[in-house]
Amino acid sequence: MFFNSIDFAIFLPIVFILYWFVFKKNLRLQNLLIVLASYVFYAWWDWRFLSLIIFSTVVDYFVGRKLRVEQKQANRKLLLWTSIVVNLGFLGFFKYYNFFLENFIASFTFFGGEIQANSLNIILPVGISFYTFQTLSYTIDVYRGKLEPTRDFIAFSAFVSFFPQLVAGPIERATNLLPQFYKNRKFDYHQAADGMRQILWGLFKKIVIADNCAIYANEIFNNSGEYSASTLVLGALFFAFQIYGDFSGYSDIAIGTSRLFGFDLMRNFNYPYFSRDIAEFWRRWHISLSTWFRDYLYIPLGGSRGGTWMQIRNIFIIFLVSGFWHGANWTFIVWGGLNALFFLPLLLTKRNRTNLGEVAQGKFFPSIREVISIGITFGLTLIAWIFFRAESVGHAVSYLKGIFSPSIFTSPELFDPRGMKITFVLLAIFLLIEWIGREGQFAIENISVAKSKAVRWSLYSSILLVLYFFGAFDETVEFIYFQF
Amino acid sequence: MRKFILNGLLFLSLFLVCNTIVYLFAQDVYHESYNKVPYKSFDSFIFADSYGMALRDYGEEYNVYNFAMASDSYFDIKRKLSYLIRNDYQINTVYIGVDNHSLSTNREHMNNLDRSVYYSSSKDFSNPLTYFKERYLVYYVAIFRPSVRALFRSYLFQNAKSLLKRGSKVKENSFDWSSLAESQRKKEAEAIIEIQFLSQNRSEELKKVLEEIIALSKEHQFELIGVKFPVSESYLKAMNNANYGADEVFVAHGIPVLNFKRKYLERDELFADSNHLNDKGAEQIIKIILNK
Repeated sequence: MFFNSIDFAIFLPIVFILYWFVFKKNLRLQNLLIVLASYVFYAWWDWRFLSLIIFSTVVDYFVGRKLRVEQKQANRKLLLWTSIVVNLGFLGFFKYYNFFLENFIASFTFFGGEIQANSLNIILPVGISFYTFQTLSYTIDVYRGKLEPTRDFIAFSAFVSFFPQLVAGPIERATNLLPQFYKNRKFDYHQAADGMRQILWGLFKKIVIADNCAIYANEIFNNSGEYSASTLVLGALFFAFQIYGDFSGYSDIAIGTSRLFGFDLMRNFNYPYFSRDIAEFWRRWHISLSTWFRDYLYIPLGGSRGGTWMQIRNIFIIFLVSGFWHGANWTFIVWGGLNALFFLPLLLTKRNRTNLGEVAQGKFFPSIREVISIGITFGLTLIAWIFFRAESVGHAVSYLKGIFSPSIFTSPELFDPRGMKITFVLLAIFLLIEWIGREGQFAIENISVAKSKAVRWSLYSSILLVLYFFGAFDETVEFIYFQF
Repeated sequence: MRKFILNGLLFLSLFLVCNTIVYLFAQDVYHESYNKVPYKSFDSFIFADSYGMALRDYGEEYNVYNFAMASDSYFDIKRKLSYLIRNDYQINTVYIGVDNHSLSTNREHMNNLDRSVYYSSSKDFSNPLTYFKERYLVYYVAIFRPSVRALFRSYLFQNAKSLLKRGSKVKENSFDWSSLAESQRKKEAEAIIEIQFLSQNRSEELKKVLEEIIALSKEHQFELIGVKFPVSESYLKAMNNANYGADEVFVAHGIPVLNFKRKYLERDELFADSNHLNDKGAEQIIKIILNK
């Protein structure tokens, strides 16, 4: 069920009431409720894939238990590899089988061979890229001795399937989330109220910003051959805000929902479009995934230690794998490769950790230098987003060629002048709110400091009114990251 | 917890008030014209989209009730027909629009499913939960419905606009199709065709429902007749023989189709726009359709 659906609007209060009023005094039953609610939530998409998540849960639970008692290093490695093979095996088959098959056939044909093979009509289970990585973090941390394996199967199942973050993250670490299932949760008004605020802001980002931008991004990308260069730039801009509003909006709703139940999830976005360089962008965008790759792939490969070529190799591996994680298409791999290219100079010149603090901290206006840095960084990510969004590498290349043409100096074609102007205004207001609230976990977090209830509720009502009158409810736009 | 619950109840109360306002608006502006139940004295019915709606109530003197409504799809038509059957209407003849665009994939989104749910029963849905959700939740929580929201929004904005214009009335649209220049008629017809025939393929889902309607006619033994309503010459030229084949489905099942597509090609004065008859045209064609 979508977060912005009537189904979820009914599901959430029911689970909330059962959680805090019926099962409040029994931790085990509370966790069991989370498991059942999460399975209902997942089955709402497609009940057939429940078996996969349950199987993955059982395998990793028993791998963890075995790792606790197994002393022989060879056997421990074997157990770890069992978990990796099962999880990545599912992911590989459902997500990448057809991609590998088609490319294998294409290479055979390229070399003059002929091969008969049929691609399968495989449905991608929702959230598989997320929960497989989440359970892998458990087995790897247990193997490394960073985490005590759990004996509580219910708590572990709840950790794997926790519904707010099950289908599109944040990809939680076992070291952060699992211990929260062992502790008695006490209802905290401020945590819950903050959670509601974060849900509201997440819905605003998704329904007002992302879904409105999606209408124009889709039109321009789907008909890119017909539009001028300046319009193509507009299309890329719309997509940049579509994907940001969509994904960070979902994360806000997930984190806010978790807080209603007394859980704290990790932050997933930290105002990435205010980044001053690409390294900072990757510390602020999809934080749960980039830190996962850093801890479980980059550092084991040697990280930034070793010679220059090793550093270059590791950076490319990380970004290419990250691109590939997003989908079985060369466009995502090229997207990853481009980001590696942008990142590499900073790493090699040891400037990848220069912008660690908040941009324009304590001030309202950024410096000229910061504005230029933000502009350049945003421009680079925009070029990469074109590959992310395009149907194929060829489409992305022709899109870029279209941008770098004389019609860049013409006015963009506003094929829906009224709608587009409203969207521009909404984007401007959105960016202003995000800028003002950039030191908070989410942009409107600090509304809570307004002492007057009337002021706070007026602000919430204003957001709700904008959501109602300007949100793109008519177009059923799925959360982008559900397809990953 | 108490404070959270109290705030939650306050929010819920405000939400209910807003929803009630929107629901009453929807009833008045959106549902009232749709939720009509014919008298049981009628034994023949017309089902179609806006093409059939143009016939208004001209068939009533011949005991034919016009159930057609703008944007009605075969999903909506099947619900209405099932309603009549369930409520023991004496059905002799059913006329159904089978125009060239009727199986357009457009109709899978542009339809009246949120309104025709009024005529539905649990048997029209795959499970009781979905029926409950569509028939009651979605229907009564009108504030969330996209169609109602769009109407409410344009109603408010239009009123705000006229207030800002210091009471100047919004001009009524008194449009005469035949008075338009040929180039303008061609342009308008092409604009409609672009929307109606956007996809290359027809909707298999709608075709399936059309066949279910045919099955209903055989099961309940009423006569089914397909009708292709008249269109203007500009529209016919712009359409250029595009056809999703709703009429072919009828023909394949041995059901007669009355084809009036070319009936008024030289009679633009009978049209309100490129593809809808005006009152004069409706009065003429109804007698021909009903063979009077």
